[in-house]
Amino acid sequence: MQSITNVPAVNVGRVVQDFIDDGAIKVLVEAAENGLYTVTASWTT
Amino acid sequence: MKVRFLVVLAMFLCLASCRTLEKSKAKQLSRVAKDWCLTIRASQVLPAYPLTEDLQVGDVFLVSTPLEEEVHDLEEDGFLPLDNVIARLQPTGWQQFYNGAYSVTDTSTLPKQWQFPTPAPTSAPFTQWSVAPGAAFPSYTFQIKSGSGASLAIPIQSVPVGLTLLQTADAYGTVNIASASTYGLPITTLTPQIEAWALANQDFLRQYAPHTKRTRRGKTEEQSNYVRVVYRVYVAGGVNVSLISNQSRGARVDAGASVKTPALFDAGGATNESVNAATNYSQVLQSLSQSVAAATPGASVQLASVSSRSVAMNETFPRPLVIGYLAFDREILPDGHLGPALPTHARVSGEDVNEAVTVAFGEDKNTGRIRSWLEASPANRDRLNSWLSSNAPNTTIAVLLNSDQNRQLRANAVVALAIP
Repeated sequence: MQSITNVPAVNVGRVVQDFIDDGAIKVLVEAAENGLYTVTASWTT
Repeated sequence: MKVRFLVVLAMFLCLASCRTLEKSKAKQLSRVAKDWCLTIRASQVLPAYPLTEDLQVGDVFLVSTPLEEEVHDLEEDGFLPLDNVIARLQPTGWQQFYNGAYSVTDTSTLPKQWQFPTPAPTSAPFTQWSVAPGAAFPSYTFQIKSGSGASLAIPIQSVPVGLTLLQTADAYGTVNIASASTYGLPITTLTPQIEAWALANQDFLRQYAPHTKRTRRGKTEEQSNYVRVVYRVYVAGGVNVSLISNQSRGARVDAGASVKTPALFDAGGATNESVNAATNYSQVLQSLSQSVAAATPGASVQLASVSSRSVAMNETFPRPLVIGYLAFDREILPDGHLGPALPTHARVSGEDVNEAVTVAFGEDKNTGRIRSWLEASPANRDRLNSWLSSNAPNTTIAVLLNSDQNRQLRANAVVALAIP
């Protein structure tokens, strides 16, 4: 599992796409209290 | 002159032998402590050592020891030191987890309601741990050799008492953990509470952000600190101890009181003698128990059986003690946030833990250059993956492109792969 924190909204789509290109089978986007996002990717169920 | 030399030599030999004895005793104590801890660890629980009442679910510790050293400590000593407590949360969510069982309600504060029940009982037991979920542990065996002292590295008073009764310092013993209880909360329930605490203490945690450390060989390596959160504890109300003397001598049993023993170990052939023996045995046992109780104030030690070579005792701790716990670790990130939860036991036992990677977002001009290069040809992705496996094995392309801490790695990749 890999997470990238403090992602600005404008970059979220690009980060998600990078994880998908890396073969991640599940990508989770969570909003944090600081207004930024955390993108978490996992490769197994 | 010659006399003075002999006196000095004698003193030196005496000191040397005392030191050897001390070393031998220390070695045995540490061996006993380790054996005790291994018994707890055999149940996939981390041992609390020394045993304490003051360890609760929601306790947060700072772990600044590198993982390799923690693994070494655990192998060497059998336990992990819990010395840097930084917070004690008062977690919520008990009622939902236990669904109203074990007298847990919406207003429950655990373990307080079991430790200090209201109204306070006027007679023993003074706690209500018997209401808590039960637990059981395998028995623990140990051996005490002559000349190494009769103290144990565990706070069980019945062991030295038993050795005194047997008049030996050479014995084989078994300890059964009695009246064990456990309670805990799931990680998912604790996580938001830990995160709220971390947010309120972000400035404090930021001091323990990952830092670069120079090793003895002159290399630099990244060192992370963790917070360790206790999410389950195991409590014991007492122990049942049995001791068997390794010495063939010692047919007499005496705990300070004068006790007649002849009929104790010989039931005799005739019926009357048998009856007398049983009565005598009962009386001796009662007399010994009173002597033991007088000799061990503060602890409740009851004799279950005695013979010339063995003694069995039931000891109740004045207050139940925590003997083990389960915890999870969360890495302290550069900004003072916490990384994902990793099970402590698996980490420090050298098990394969899927160490999650958490990085903070940060891009630069090389991010765009590498992306454009990747999009130009599918073969470039394979080349970059190959380069990463040699230069940063745990880093994926997504993390390379988007993490703040990998700026230098991106620059290296651009140079090494001649990315335009």
